[in-house]
Amino acid sequence: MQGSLVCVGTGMLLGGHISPISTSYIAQADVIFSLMSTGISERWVEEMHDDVRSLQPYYQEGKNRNITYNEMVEAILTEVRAGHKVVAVFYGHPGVFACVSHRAVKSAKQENLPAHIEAGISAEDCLYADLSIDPGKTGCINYEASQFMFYQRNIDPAAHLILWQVGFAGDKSLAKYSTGSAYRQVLVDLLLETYPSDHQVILYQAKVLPIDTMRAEHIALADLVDAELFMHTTLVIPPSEKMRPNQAVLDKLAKLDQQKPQSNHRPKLRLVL
Amino acid sequence: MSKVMQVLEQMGSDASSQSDQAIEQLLITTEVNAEQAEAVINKDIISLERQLDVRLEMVCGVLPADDDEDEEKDDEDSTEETSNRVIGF
Repeated sequence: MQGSLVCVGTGMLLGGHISPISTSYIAQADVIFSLMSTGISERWVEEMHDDVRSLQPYYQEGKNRNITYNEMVEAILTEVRAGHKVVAVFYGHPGVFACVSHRAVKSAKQENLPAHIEAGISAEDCLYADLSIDPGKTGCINYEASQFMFYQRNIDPAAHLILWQVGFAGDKSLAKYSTGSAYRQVLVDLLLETYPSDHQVILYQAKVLPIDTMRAEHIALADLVDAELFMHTTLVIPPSEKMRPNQAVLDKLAKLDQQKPQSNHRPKLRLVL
Repeated sequence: MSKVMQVLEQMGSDASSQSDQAIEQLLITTEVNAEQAEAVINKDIISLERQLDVRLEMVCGVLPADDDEDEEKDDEDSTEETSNRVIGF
């Protein structure tokens, strides 16, 4: 019997976001691995199936998270190779800001074992709803906070900028679960190259339990240094400038419109004799 | 599924279980014990976590800033003690 792997997401809100197909995969699995964000939601998943194995014990402060993630992948793949129908359950969307699912699926496919990711409701999805942000209005750029610091990335001050995992921004060791104000000052200094210090930013945390509350705390950018941040806190930076027209492209498009004015008035049907 | 988890699941999925009154009624009909019911009504997550004896230390970062798994494997392969922990990359 060939094993298989499906990575599913519970969405953010316990009970409210999990899809019917994800629920079905969980019910029909031989083995479940879970990586949830709260103890209560982890228990919820445990109560869905007789064999649920948490991946949380692999985490250890001071241990490089890349090693942790690879150990998680190996635990999952061991069961797939043994011929079991394996389902890995992640909070949120299993393929968004989640390397374990991507690595596990990639490894399974390299071994010709069937594997795929089912879409789920991510923290980003909740963010747009909770903060009434339409990413299509002015555009929206997402970066992992540390990666944003380590590499030269472009900021468009006319678009929303969303930085994930800001609670441990600047951790080059991948071994910490929080970084202090000195690290955050480096991040703020980087952002101050583009935004004014009093620019209002939002600290966002999605509601994950029905008895939980969503966090949408507005603070000045400069105050980020001493703000209370958690692992699941996301930094949302609204646009500080208006979009500027790209006149060169607009001129080219205007010329094209003038060249083919008849195309808009062409009859839909022509009689061919 | 335990009674309190049924309640939480319904609160998260049922449009008619959003008001305080509906939640209190739900807690009564599912016969959740008094202490857990109080935690749900008061939205006291810490109390509920302790009563359910769930894991308290949870990590929820699942993306490294540098997602170079091959490079990570090479680093690990050079360390005999830990090389057997990273397989498949």
